[in-house]
Amino acid sequence: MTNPRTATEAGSTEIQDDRAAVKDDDLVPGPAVDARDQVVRGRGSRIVGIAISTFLTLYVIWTLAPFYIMITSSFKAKGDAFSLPAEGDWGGAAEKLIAFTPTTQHYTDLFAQGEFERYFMNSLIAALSSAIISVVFGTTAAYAISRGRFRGKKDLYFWIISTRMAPVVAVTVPLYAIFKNFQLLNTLPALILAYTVFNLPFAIWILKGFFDAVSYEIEEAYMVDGHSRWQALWKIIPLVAPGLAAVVVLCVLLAWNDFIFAAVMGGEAAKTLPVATQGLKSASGIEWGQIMAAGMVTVAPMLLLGIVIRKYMVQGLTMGAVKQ
Amino acid sequence: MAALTFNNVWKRYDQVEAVKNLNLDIRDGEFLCLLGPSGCGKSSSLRMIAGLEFISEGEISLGGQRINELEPRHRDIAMVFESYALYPQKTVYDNMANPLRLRKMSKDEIDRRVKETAAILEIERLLGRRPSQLSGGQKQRVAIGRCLVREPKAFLFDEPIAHLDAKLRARMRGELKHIQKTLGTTTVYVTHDQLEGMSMADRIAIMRDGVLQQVATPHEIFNRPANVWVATFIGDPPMNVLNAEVQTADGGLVARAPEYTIAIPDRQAAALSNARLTDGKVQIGIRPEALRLSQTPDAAHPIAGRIYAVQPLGDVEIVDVRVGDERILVKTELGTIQNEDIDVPVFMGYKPEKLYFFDAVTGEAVYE
Ligand SMILES: Nc1ncnc2c1ncn2[C@@H]1O[C@H](COP(=O)(O)OP(=O)(O)OP(=O)(O)O)[C@@H](O)[C@H]1O
Ligand SMILES: [Mg+2]
Repeated sequence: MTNPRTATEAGSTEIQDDRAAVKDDDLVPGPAVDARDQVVRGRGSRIVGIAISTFLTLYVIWTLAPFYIMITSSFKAKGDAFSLPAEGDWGGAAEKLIAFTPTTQHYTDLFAQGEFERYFMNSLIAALSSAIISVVFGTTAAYAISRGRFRGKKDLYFWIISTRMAPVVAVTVPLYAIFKNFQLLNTLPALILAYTVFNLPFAIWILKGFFDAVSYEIEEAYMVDGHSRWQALWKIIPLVAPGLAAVVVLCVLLAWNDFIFAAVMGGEAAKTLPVATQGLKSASGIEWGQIMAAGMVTVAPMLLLGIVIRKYMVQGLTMGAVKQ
Repeated sequence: MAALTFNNVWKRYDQVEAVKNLNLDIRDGEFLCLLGPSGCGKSSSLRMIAGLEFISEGEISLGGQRINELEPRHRDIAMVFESYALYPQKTVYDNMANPLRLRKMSKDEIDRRVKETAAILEIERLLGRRPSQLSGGQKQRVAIGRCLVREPKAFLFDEPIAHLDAKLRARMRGELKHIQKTLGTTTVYVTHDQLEGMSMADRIAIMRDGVLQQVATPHEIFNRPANVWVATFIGDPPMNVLNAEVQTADGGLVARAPEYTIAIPDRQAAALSNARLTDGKVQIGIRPEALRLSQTPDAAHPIAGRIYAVQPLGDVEIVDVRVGDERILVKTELGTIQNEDIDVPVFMGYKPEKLYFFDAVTGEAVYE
């Protein structure tokens, strides 16, 4: 039989022991200090912790709610999507968000009626081509700017970045005129060129920072070992891989999400997903279900790309940011 | 293995003239040390040999062949870089094997050479690691290893052991010298540490502000420096340099300063009168170890001064003596002077044959 009083006493001594232990830790440098740190944080900053959690929760809802609505709406029958709950019926409203009979009707419509597959391919080709061109030329140009010693290097570099500073709209009109002259209007190459105009300077800018971070002596060592200059460049590519990943993703994103160039210069022959989606809003009405489905089709590949390349990209973006 | 020649070589970076009209013959199999203070153009010279810098003017030849236009990879030269320059994504083994793989060597041969070299440098345990997992000294040894596995026409070292601790550095000096002598490969070794130069090199080339000052054996550099700058650069503690004026007295020459008068030995007197010094101004050089110290004035210790500071160094000590406005360092055995307090009078003596004389204007040494 345990005497309850002894039990409490034992408990309180335990607590005191704990304190003594904490005090001892005070005197010990190293990890013990960390342990004390945790104790303090656990007691003192609980409110801050709650505040942070609350904020993050709200932020996640804020960010993900549109996605949720898009996903559910794309699977909802027309009636479901627009049926409103009675005024003040909050429970009903919440239920409407969750409970519905899913249907793939909008997706079938999207691909059956139109030429949505072709638009998807157009988007893909335009985005990938521009990204590949930007990475290849961006790598070589960034390498040259990073390693070369020539007059006017800084000016050249600034000029390259400055082309990126012009607003998209300002470039659209002259590009339109140029493409018209070269009879490129309404073709995919026009879009690829237009995207590259914006992606290439960006690629050069990011990649130069990465090349700067690689000691030139490493390439020199390769060359002395017996490699040519090109081989030496090829050998250090793994060291700038995070930068390449970041550039690929951001270049693909720019092209993939573009509306204005594709709308102005793409025409029917080079129609991309955003333009096609806009086309679902016709005189006969707005096909909300299909628009949501199209949105899903547009977003999904980028989500996938992001997940695949995430590790590199975070490293790439932060490193690039520190370097500059 | 090959001889290496600099012929009127200049290196210019925009405004900076890093190497000025360098003429230098490095013999086949020689261990030549390029010695000089920071920024004097040592690395620039070395990098021109490797083909990593353009030669602004002049010609460098290797084994009798002009190499100015040759790409680095065709020069057949191995180099250790100041910053190690290891390949970060490769293991130590692969770092060392890289130059061999390029030469289409058999796997067994590569393995044998890498392991042999690693054993010499005591980095066998590290072969599986990546450069990021190595300490600075280990990195440096791997960099040396990557150079030594090859059998190139020449080795180039750019301060290869500067980052090692003193003990390891002393050992590596011996190792590197041994390896170089065993392989007999022409070697150019850049350093700003005179000890490395003096202890390892067959000959030392001393540079200052891009200008070659003297090329000679360590012995000659130490005992017959070409000018006052070389004289004070080599030797630790550095040579004392005193300003004086040459005058005639008692049919001979003396160097006179306010505080003392030094008789110029006959064999140097002729040269000094021929040297036509400007206004008779001369600089007298005396190495700290060539001076004797006493606390009682006598004929053998004619220069009087007062103690400024005493630095004991184990079995010897360095006594810093103030003479007028000048300071003179004396290296002497511990216990030579009893009272080491500041401002205590001391007296210095010297052997006349240990004196150096320099033209005070040009700095050139005057020998008999
Ligand atoms: N790429 C460059 N551009 C401009 N000036 C340079 C360049 N490299 C070297 N210099 C200059 O040339 C001179 C010689 O440099 P170098 O690197 O050859 O000196 P060093 O003797 O190797 O010095 P340290 O012992 O510090 O390595 C220095 O004044 C340096 O500032
Ligand atoms: Mg250097």
